[in-house]
Amino acid sequence: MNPLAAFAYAPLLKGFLALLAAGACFPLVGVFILRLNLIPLKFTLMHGAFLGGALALAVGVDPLLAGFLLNAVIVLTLAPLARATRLNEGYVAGFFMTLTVAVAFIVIYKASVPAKDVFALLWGNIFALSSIDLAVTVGFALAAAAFVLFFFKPIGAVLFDREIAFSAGINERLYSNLIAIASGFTVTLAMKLIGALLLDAVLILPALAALLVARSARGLFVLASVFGLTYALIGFAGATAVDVPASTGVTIAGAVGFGACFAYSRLVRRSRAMKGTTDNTDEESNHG
Amino acid sequence: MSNRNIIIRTEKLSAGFGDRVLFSGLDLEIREGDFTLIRGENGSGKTTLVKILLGLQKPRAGRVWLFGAEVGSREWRRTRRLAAYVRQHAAASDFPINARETVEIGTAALRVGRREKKLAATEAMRLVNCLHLARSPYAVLSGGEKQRVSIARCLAQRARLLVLDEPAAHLDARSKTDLMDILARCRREQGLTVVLISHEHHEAIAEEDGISGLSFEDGVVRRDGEVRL
Repeated sequence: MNPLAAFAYAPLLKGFLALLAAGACFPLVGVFILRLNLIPLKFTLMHGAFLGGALALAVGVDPLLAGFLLNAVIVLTLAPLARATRLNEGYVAGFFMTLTVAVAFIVIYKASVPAKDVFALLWGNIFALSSIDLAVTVGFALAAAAFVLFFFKPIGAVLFDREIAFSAGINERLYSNLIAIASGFTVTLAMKLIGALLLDAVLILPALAALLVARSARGLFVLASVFGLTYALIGFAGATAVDVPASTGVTIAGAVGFGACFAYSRLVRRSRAMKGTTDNTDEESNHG
Repeated sequence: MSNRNIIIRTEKLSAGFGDRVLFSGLDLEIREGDFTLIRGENGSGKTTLVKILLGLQKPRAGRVWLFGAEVGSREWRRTRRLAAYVRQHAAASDFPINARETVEIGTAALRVGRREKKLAATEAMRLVNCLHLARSPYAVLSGGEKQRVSIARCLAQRARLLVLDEPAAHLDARSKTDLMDILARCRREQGLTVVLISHEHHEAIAEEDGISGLSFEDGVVRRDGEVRL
């Protein structure tokens, strides 16, 4: 059977295209999340998308839209609240994280929302995407890539050191907010695509691997994108071949890729250390 | 009375943490081309002062003007890149960024074309003799090379004021001399104003004219006038 014949099924084709777009562009946001220590924020946003989904099902609107809106509110509230209360942003994220889950369960209970529908948000399903979901995913993936491309220097500066970025005249608060908003949208979309439990496969693992082996900021973003696309392709093909959910295939590909990059980075570090030792020995013998 | 422009002016500046007062009522004036050496014990408030001067930290009381614009004002936001900062500890060295990209951070807020930004970065790297490091990852540079790259970043930024917080800490003797040589040269050739936190003696700047000092001791900031090192 021609393996490409499977793409004649619209859900499969839509899922594949969404996964490619997410694989290529979401890791760019993963770089932000890892570099700016936004992991607590990421969990808060996952819970925000869960609450958004519960609210949407209760009032009959699109869960993706509700998740976007709620996470936008969380992102825009979090930093000013942290500044006003002089609390660490991670602490405020922790507060929102627990509050959103509590409110979600109240909504589920009081509005008699079928729990399985809400929990479906945690699992995600790339083969259940509507054409609008696909368009939003591809559109947002392109917007994330354009954001990095056009604002590479100020973004690189903020990721390098916020104080240095500030003293270089960059509006680091604006870029930090844009980065947080991009993270919010990406987490919400990734949840819809492959579910909360496996969203790190497209968001974090490629960025993590790229951080281990990149030698420049430009290389970091390029590698994160290439790794994400590769994991998506290999994971999708592998999962289809052995008939398991696509998200698990992408995660396994990501884990193997991370392992390979980790081993490579250790080898490079060891050879650099040995070279340094040799250089020092040479220098000593020259002086001796 | 000097007719050189005032670069930094503070009025009744106070800072502290909790009950601890680092300094209070500090009136300060630094003029164009000055070389100000800030000295004092660890934790005496030197870093806090420079962060307040740069707008990175808020004072407990008092006001600061940088290049004539009050820190926090709209005008200051437009001109704050004229004051560049080199930190004590090499910034986030685990971030994969190469030396050229680090220098180009300085050009991010310049309102010139891409080509001119590239030229500014190249020229700055040439001035501090680190052009050969352009493609090297920042993380693998030596302490002295990192600080040279940082100064190139400040020059690429077209800053008129360099604020350096213990830039020579943890450097070997030769790198310290190189670094101070570069600073002295930047001041002479580019007419930059330099504010340097350091508690060490530096031969390379000992012969510079017009070095003034600020000493932090037990919550008191003393102006030392002309300092002979």
